[in-house]
Amino acid sequence: MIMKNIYRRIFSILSIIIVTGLFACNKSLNLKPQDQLSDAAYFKSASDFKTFANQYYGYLRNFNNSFADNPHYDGRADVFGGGGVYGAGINTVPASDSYWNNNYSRIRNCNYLLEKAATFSDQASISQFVAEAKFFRAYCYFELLQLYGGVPLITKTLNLDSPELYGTRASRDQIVDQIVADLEAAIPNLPASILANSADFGRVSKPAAQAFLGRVALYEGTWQKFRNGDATRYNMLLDKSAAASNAVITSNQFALFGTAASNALGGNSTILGDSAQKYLFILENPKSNPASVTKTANHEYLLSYRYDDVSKTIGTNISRQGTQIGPQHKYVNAFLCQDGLPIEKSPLFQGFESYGSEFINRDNRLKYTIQVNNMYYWYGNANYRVTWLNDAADIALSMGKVVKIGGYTNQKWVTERNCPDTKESEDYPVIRYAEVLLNYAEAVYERDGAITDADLNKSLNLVRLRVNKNMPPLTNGFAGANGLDLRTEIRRERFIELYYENFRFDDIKRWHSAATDLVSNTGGTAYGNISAFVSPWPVGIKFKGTQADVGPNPLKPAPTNALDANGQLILDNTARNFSEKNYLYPIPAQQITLNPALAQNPGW
Amino acid sequence: MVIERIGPIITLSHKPKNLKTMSFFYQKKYSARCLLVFLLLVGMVYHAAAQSRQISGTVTDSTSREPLPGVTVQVIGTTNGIQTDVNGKYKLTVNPGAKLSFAFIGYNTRKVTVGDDPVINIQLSNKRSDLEEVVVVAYGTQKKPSVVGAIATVSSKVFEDRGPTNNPIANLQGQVPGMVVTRSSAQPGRENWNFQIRGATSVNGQDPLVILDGVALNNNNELNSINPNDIDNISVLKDGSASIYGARAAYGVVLITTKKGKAGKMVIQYDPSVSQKLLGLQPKMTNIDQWANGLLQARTNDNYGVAPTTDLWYQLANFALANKGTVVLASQIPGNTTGGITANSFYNGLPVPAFLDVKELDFIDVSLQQYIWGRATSTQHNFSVSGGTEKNTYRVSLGYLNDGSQLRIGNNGNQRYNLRLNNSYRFSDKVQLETNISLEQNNIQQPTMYTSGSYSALGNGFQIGLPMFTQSGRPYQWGGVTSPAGLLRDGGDNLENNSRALLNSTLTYNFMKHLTFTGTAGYNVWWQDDRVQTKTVRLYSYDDKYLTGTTAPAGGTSGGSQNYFRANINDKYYNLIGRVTYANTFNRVHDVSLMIGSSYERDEYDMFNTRTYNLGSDDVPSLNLGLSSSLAGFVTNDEQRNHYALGSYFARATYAYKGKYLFEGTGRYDGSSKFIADKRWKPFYSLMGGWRLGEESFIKKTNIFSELKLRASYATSGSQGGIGLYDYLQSLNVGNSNTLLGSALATATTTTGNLVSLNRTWETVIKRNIGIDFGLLNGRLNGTFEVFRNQNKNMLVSVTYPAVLGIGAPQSNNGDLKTWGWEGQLTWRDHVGQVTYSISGNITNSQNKLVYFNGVPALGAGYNATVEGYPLGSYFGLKYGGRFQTQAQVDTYNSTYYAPGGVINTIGIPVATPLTNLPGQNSGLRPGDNYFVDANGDGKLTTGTSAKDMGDLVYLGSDIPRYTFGLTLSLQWKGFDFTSIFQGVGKRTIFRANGSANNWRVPFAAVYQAQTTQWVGKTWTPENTNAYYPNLHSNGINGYNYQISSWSVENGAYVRLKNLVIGYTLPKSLLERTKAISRLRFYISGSDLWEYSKIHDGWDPEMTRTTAGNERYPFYRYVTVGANITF
Repeated sequence: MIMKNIYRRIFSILSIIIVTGLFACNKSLNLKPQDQLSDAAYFKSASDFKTFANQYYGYLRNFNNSFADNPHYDGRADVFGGGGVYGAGINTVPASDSYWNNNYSRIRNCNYLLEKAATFSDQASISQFVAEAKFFRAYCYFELLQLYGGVPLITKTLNLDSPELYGTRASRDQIVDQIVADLEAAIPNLPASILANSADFGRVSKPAAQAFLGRVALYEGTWQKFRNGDATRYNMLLDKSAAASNAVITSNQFALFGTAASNALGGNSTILGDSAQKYLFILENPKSNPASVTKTANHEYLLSYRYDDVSKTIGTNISRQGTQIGPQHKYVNAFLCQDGLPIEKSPLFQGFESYGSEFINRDNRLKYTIQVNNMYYWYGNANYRVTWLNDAADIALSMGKVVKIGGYTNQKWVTERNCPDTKESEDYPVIRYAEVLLNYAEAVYERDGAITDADLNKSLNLVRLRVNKNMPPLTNGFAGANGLDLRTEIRRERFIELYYENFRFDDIKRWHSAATDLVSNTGGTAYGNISAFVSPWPVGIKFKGTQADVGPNPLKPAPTNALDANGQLILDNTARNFSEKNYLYPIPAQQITLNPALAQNPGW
Repeated sequence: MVIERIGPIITLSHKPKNLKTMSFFYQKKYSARCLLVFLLLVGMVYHAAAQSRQISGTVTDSTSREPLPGVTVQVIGTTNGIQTDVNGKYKLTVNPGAKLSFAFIGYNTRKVTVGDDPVINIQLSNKRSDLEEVVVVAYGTQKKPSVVGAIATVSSKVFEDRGPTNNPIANLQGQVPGMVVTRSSAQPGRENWNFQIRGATSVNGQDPLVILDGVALNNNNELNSINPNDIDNISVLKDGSASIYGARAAYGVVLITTKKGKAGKMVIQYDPSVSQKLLGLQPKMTNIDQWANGLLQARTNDNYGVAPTTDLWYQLANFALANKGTVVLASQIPGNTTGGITANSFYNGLPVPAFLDVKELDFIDVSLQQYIWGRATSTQHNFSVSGGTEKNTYRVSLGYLNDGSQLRIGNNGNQRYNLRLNNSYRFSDKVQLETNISLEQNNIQQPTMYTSGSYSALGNGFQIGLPMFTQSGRPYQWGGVTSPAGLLRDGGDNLENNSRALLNSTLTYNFMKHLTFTGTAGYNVWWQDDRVQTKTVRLYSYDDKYLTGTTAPAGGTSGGSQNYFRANINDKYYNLIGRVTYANTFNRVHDVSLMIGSSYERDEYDMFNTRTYNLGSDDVPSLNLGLSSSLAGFVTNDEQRNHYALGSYFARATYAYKGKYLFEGTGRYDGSSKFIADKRWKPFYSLMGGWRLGEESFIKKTNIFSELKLRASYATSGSQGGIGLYDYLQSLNVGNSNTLLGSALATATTTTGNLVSLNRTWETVIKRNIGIDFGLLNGRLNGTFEVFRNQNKNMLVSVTYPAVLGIGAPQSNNGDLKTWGWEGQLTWRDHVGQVTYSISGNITNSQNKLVYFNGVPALGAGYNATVEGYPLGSYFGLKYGGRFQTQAQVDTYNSTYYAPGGVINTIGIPVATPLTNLPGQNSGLRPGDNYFVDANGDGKLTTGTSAKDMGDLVYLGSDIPRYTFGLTLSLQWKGFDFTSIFQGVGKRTIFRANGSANNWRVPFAAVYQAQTTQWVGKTWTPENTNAYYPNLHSNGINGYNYQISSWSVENGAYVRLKNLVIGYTLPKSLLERTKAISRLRFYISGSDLWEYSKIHDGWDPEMTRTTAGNERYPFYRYVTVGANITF
């Protein structure tokens, strides 16, 4: 009896352990996250879609990813020095490439929203965000197109077993058609205008999408044209480009900063006179220019990566870095003289003989883009402009006369106000009205091989004459009388106006003009001479026979660099080796290893 | 042998209290012997008349020196014998030359030949430690002879006399075969002690499971709070013996058992000690002369041997030599009155190097390292009271550790306070309750700006010659280079307070003779409270001029750097375990036991933190004192909450036949909340067997072995390492997009960066082990040797998919890692006259190979964590050919391997640029530079990218230590004791490649930074062509010469005197007069006193390869004086 009792007890305890164990375990192993949203409960309202779309605005080019070296960087072209390995055409196939990876991850986020939107009940309430997803998908595919040409076309979210993972590359045409289709689908659903003070300011508008379509169609149209592509196709694209840019122009939503048209849209920017060209690029809400003009007066940026002096400063040392870079001689020489003629032809050109002589009688944009000798500029937050009058207070604080003979020092993006390093807050223009105007002029010219004076006056001349009130406009007559080539002049205008906005390398690629543009660099690259940590040899512009060479106040100690035939210092004689294959970046090797169906670009 | 019944309460102590626990088997034998001895005594009477010689003596215990009564003294080969009396004395009449044997149960038998001396005193050594020792195993204990797994045990002895020990793991270094213990820093409380059992088992998390008094630690950091003095013993389960812990057994299991009270008189123990920390190995810094002369040489070499007089650094070096030990203010230099030193001025006839942003040039000849690091004192007090009755035993202990810091500036240190109460109460013969309560407090302080910026105390950015403070002791800055001293002193404190409570109770209920129920409830709770203040530090030039805009360093988002941060972590972990054990012996030869149980454990983690900027006052750090401001980021906060649970069933069966043939099998079925429900549960098992060969008569007859056992095991175990808590659920991140829409930063939602994983499961590690345990020469020589082989066949690895996927792919069970090796331990114990001694050594060799890693054998020059086909942590680099001695060699090399555009070499062969461009000049290779070998013979010098295409890279070894060994010597003579422990590594490759580590390895890697001395006088010059180091350079050629190669990697092998103790125990006779103190011992000990290392760069051989941040905290040696007092 006793034994029986004991066994009963044992069995009951055993079974309690095991049974309660099973129950307790299975149930108490289902644990949900306590501090994260789950996807199943989201996308229930239009605001969910909007919040999801907000992330796309981080995809725009900005000072953090486009100020220094990047695939579109002016420094890889013929603007600053020898172009590095990419501009020199000696880059190699990388194992991986963040631009490839990031764009596909962004495209996935666009596809994700589009898929969620497909099953949403109230389509009208989310049409703007669906349009944004399409715009940004187009934006990312255009990046991929510019970098790699035709790439795999992914228009849905993939899983680990999706066959698309191992698909082939789509053709250039397929990618371009997708971009155009996405943009054309997005345009009607985007707001025609977004007021500067509205909560949606900064979002993509209809004109911004049209301008982007103008850029893409011009890019591909000229790419095909200068590679003997199908004329029907490139003319169609050029037509599309001109029409899209024209739609922006006729919308009257945007105007060049510092013009009466801009004042009409609000704010007074003409008060800055010809220095509007300079202050546009360092326009901040704190006093950043002599006239206290703020960002509300800017009607030139159609789409920008926005910063704010309180809530979002740039965080990259753009002013200091900006002064440590300088363009080549070639860029400075591209500026016209005030008579509208290039320096080779203009009697107004004063040569290089004395410090600053080449700045005389030139396109005013030169003195607002490159620092001029004996003027006063920001240098660090201990040396800044206070009155903007070059008076005693200004001189005392800013770095007066420092721009000696150190070559050409950049001033675009360099603040003038009392601003600590990295705390600048000017916006980064992703699409600027000046570009739209120049796109229009070029698209019309390349489509027809000619452009009317009326078309030039509604586009290119606005840009050219904005800060050069006395310069003659570019007309067919002026060009003819002075033996100027219109295509050269249209391209010159882009070179000058869109400097340091990272168009030049892509322009050279689509123009197929590396053979003439990306040649060995023979001087003029200036390097900021201020830092004690750079060369004690100021390097510069023309040396032989100039003031730097013969005085007064010659350069000491004299540079020992070799001189070229023109008496310019040879700073960097690295040979350019930019060949046909370099017009596209190579597909990262790892991607081909992972998916052998992915063919490498020719020549790599 | 009988498997001890499960019941940790009675048997946790490894020394049985008395002979009661001896088996019936032995008792019978013992009785039989008594009878035999009686008969012998009778027989002896007859022979006595014939004997001519009487000898006598005393038999004592070799350790306690107590007389042993009842020892059988017998003339070998005869029946002549006697037993010792109550005082251990014997008298025996023998023939000259007779051989005597002294035998006593539980002791090793000794044999002595009778000589001329009529007195023969004998000491017998205790054999119990070998045969009766109880080993703590998973869910219970076993007698050592029954153990069939690879289990190493460590007694409390290893924690004694070791000076300040922040983490008990530290003292296990070199003590446990199969266990490799490493640390990454010497900062008090943040040493980051780590250990691996039998090497790497996975590329994912590698933490062995630690179980304290039956309850798992949720996180091995908890060891930081445990007082080593409370530890009674540690068992390390290395093979299938760990497998019963299933999902977490893959990396081995460590069982820690704390000290318990013993029935009897109250024992009060007090162990104070004080230690002095002395600076150990760390790189030495050059003085001004060495630096300046080196720099002159480097700049000259860089420029083709033409001294570049206008070169800034050349000028600076010359200027430094001329002004050594002084500070030259800008105002003293003509033309530099307004601050900022411009070019073309002269001072005492020398050109002044131009630095526009500094107010003076400094050449003070004391390095930062000399200044901030010094000696420190640590103290430790341990106090315990233990005792009890048959019903109730207790042990209460208090521990205090104050570990001082070698950092002389600012507040740095670690304090630990421990209170532990271990109590066992016997309600009845059948019911017993054991409760262990431990309260722990562990406070760590460090200066907030300890690792701040590139010029921190732990960086190498600080320029040589700069003062630590201004002339009147203010924080100092020079041209953007801030002296760390001011930041350490004035930048605020970082305080981390950890409070832990570890509670566990175990109820044991013996239903009947063979059946026991054991229930354990454990609850561990951890609170962490962090208070970090960052103060504004105003910086000054040497002559005390405030440098505007130099509030350093920036910490806030805007509006000033000062801020105050608080964080609270609250982590609750509980574990419930129930099990039933049946154990019985049938027909006296079949020992059978069966245990079955289940457990549930769960962890709840809860953290939040907040940071306030712009405090109204730096004096009183409080969240309340933030000034109101409209600035964004004025207050930031964060919260994290998560949890996981693990449910388990487990069972073990053992069978032993005649105590000779041993079999054991375990099984476990684990379910984890980290997996989707249908992949959640998985079984693990082990099979183990042992053969006590020594018990077989044919071995016994040889009389060689006191123990000989063969063991083998095969097991599977799992790991959840590298798995997120909720990876099977798709979640979205909501947060600030950092994009400005409207007038504010927009909130944005996005998908988390990874696809959800629905089909992954546990990593499963197969473990195989073969071992042998042996005792020879009457147990004086004991040893163990094991061979093992582990395989992780479904290791979770990242699988790379084409990037068009657009999102990270989840890890999948797609890897294969093999680990194999051997380990052994050998102990010799004996005595010579009054001196007893032991020598014990162990060695571990573990190797691994990443058999399959997703099929991607990518590698690069340098350290590679994972390369398919190679061990983890492998280094690849060039094969060093030698050093150019002639220009002709250089020319040949250049013409063979250099082509413009880097077509023929990708190893960075520098090519000369024309002399006309001095600033960017590169001298190209010269005699005195290194050359490398075209290892693959393709006519090029290239670095490959994969194991299939390695270019000229060759395998240079692994960062993971191999042949780790320890050697312990101990001696006792009368009251004196002496112990020394050597520990070391036989094979390891180290290459410090990254960032700051690189800068102290390569002379003048950054010209303006302080340099270390290892190269001084050892660089190539035309006069010293056999020098160890190449030409001095300060430009890109350094990158070429010092790139990873068979020359530049360091040999990480070392041997170190880990511990040395000399102690003296006062004689009992003396202490008896005090009537209070029953034992008093004084000792002096030293740790890390000596080492032999082949490292060239001056770092400690235990140092990590990264030497980043607090890993740079200099290692120390310490000398401890202490006492052990028992009342």
